[in-house]
Amino acid sequence: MIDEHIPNGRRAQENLRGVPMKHYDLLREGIFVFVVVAIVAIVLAAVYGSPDYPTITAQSVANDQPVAFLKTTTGILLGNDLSAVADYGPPYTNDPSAAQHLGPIAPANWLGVTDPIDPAQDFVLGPLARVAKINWLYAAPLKEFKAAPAAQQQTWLTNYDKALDKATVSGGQVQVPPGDYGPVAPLMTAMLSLGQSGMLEGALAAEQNGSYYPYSFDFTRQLLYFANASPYMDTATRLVQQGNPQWGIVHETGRYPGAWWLAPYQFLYELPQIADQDSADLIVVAIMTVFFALIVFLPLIPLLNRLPHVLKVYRLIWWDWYRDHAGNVPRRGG
Amino acid sequence: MNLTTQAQRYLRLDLTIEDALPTRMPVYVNSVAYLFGAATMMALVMIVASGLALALGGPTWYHTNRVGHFFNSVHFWSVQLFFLAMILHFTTKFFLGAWRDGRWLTWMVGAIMLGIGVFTGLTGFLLQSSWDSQWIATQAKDAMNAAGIGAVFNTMDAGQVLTLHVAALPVALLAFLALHIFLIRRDSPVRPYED
Repeated sequence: MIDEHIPNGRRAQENLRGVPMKHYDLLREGIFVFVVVAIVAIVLAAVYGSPDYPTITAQSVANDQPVAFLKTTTGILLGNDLSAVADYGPPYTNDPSAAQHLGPIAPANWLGVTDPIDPAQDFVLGPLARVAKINWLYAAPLKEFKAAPAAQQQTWLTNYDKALDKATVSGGQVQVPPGDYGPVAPLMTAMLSLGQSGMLEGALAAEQNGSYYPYSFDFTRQLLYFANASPYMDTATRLVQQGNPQWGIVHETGRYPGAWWLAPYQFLYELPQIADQDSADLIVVAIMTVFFALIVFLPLIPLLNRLPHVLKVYRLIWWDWYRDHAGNVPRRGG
Repeated sequence: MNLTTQAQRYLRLDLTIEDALPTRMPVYVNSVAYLFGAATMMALVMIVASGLALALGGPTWYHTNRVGHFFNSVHFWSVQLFFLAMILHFTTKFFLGAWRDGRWLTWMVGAIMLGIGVFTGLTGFLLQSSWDSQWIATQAKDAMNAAGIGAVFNTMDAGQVLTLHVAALPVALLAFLALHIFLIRRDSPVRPYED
């Protein structure tokens, strides 16, 4: 015969000594909560759906904004601000001085370059070599560009980059005024064709994975190509956060809630004292690490761990206890 | 020393069947605030169930098939409910000073679960294989790289992100959840402040 009143364990008995008890059904309560949560989730899913906005592809940029495509590609070769990798430092390029740092502490340098990227070769010249296999007309310009001294390459690229500001677009093709571009003009035409064909990402994956292609789970290069490009930023501004790109993960596309629980993290980027720093990301991470440690160790931090007793919000939750029972129950351990 | 005998003795003395599956509660457990923890856990059940469907069906299914997209939506809203319930749970437990009388470990395990949950959520956003993933991956990489984490965790490596999101992080979360519930049931609900 099973005893209907099985006693609690030692710790619970010590805690509950003298406290009036009431009937309770753990499983019934659990099932009730589950049913409510499930219904709310399913109704919200059925009524509102979920965000699923298509990605920005090289093909969409090349077709819709061919000049921006070429500015980005030229920028990658020049290593200017449109390149997401030039001057980045670890883990992509071997430039320890570029790593974000707090005083002498630069965590990015601890493990160094773990995903080496040569922007010109990996993003542009490698894919161009593949285009040259398909269309031999591009083989000679590519050979000429690679053989030219770096200073000459820079001159051609700089001239072409400036000319793009005066470019006209007709039938998806970009026309630049005549100038000294050397082989850069045909090579950029080749890159634009590769982009418009939809095969640029495939070429980047093949460049990255080498002997193990077509297996590919890593999209670093495909995602970095346009990470600093204007169409990408414009889309972010238009779709996500009404003008403020930093709130990306907090504000979801369209009318959907995003990761609003990261608001304290994103808020730090709103402070100009932090956002204007070269090491803004590291400063934010450091502050959030301290904040998280405070939460984890709160029970052990003097004064802070007594804050609830000072605030007395618990009286709202335990209001009936203080009204009906508090005076009649012996003190804990008493 | 017989370890099994020791375990039996521990459970007999410190986690009886009444502790584990209670039929009685102290009268001060009498507020909707006590349901937020259970709601968090039940939202997690919905997340795991819908997530299994998404993982088995794959991205093409949930991008193009109506049923797949519905499961994606259930997953999305369950995550919203999970964080809403968890923040409410945390807030109320803070105001109750629920770490008192030796319950500090219960709080700490919960706080660590919050951290794991946030990181799991990030990997989920990265896995949607949509514009959001693309944008968040390229934005979040800078913080990861600056903190030195980028060398071992690449937001743009979908293979790595998938393993973390559907295997490593959920297993860690469920392990900490098991410990959290064990501690809660062993120690019984914290008593009100003695004003």
